[in-house]
Amino acid sequence: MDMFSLEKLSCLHLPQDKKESMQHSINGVMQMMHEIDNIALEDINVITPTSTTLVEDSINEDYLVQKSKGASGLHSVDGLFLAPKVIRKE
Amino acid sequence: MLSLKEKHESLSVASFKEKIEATMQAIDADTSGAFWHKKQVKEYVEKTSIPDFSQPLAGLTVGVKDLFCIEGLTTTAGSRILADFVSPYTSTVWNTLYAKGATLVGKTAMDEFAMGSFTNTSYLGKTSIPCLPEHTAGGSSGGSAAAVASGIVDFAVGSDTGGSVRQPASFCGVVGYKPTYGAFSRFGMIAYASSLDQAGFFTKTIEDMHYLLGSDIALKDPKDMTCSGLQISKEKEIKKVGYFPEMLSSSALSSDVACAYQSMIDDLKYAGVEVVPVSIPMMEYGAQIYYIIACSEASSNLARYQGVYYGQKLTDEPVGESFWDSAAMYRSKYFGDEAQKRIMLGSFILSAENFTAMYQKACKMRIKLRSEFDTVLSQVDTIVLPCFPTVAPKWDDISAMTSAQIYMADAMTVPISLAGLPACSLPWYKDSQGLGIGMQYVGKRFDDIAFVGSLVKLQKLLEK
Repeated sequence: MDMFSLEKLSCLHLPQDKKESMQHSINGVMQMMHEIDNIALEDINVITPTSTTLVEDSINEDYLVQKSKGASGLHSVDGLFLAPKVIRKE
Repeated sequence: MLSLKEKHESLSVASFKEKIEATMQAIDADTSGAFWHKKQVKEYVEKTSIPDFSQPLAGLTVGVKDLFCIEGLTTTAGSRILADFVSPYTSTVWNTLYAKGATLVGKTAMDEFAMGSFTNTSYLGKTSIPCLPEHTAGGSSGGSAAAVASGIVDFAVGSDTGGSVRQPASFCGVVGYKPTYGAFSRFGMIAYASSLDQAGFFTKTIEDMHYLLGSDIALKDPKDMTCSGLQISKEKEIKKVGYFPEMLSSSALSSDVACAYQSMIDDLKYAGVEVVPVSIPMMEYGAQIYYIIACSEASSNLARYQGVYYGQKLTDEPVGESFWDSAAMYRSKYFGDEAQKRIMLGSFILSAENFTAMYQKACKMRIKLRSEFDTVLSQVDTIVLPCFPTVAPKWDDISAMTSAQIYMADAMTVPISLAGLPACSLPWYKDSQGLGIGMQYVGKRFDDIAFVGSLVKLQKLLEK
């Protein structure tokens, strides 16, 4: 996975001068983690649910809350939408 | 040296006030970097009332790792993102200790969100072994270990996710106890990896740890569904100890640590304890399993820090194209490098293409590791092994290490955390420079109080 996608998934925005060293460090750790690849463990039951279909991790712009959408809310401050107060009727 | 029990019993109201004053002066003068928020805590202590001397921990001073929330005090977890976070509530661990009469005198240093092995990843600076400024106090609860080692506090609270109590205890020459997962409440404890995080404690001696645990501090907590508390069970004598023969000849262990391990085994045999070789094959992959699971959980736990609920407000920051762009800029500005690295690793592992091959597989391997430990512990009373492959490294040596090397160095503590077992690190040896080597004993699940009691007896046997 490239750094751009990884940053998006992680909700991070690394400065340009840090990207290379971070990528190098992550690659080293990933290499260590991949040492488990050759272990066979089919006979052990998993504890995590497998029935849920996983979504593909593509960068989807739809989920981004655009400034314009925030601005159309009833109340907004500095472009951030403020959730309305819940009013309960007895 | 007085024990915790003797300190508690010998104090009066007048001597307590003198003790607190002297302790606050010592904290002010501390140069190891063990204490944070000194001014704020001093003001807090001045307002603290005299404890009820009928309580078992009354008169005892405590340093608490800066990830336990205490109402009205800044709790940063070592992160700039929480620099101005003043907790509106108190953690169950501190509430219980306070109810038992303990007096808070310091918030102790740590790695950012407990992510690190040397107390050097926080924005508030490093912590060294008291009197050995060139050497790390270990981590992530390095501040708590140093606070006890210097004698400034009577005992300290830390947290152990993958060795963060046992390893600094080993470096600083004090006792460090990691309870069974679920023995102590995690309510009010800032999360790193929720299936592994557990409060832990530091004392000068194993007798003190036994006294602390016997003060009924591990209670069931309705605010944490994973917390069962601890019951007092009958103490047993340790007659059979398991050890790992392959570690003695492993190139991963420094010669000092291998020698200390061998001398431990020899002394146990000499004391009449049966020492048998044991094997837990899955331990070889302990560090890999641990970092896959811990980073995954960290990326999820740290997702909440996006500038709305905690810390600096996003509205005070430069605004990006969208909310998420702004949040990304904010997170990169305020999270340290180590936290960002682990978030990225976790996000990668949990992505659709890696979830099954990495996360799910690591969970399977964790089950196998746990069952291997249970099998071995059904045949021996305890297992003994070193806490770290070397003595406390120098700061210069740490900066030359890669992340993968640092992570692999946790290979002796993380398997026990993955198995959720209790373990206690006892000081065993000091090298010519005065650097400590601790040995950790692994106990049976939820048998903590009896286990620590049996270690008191074992220690006495070894001293003979």
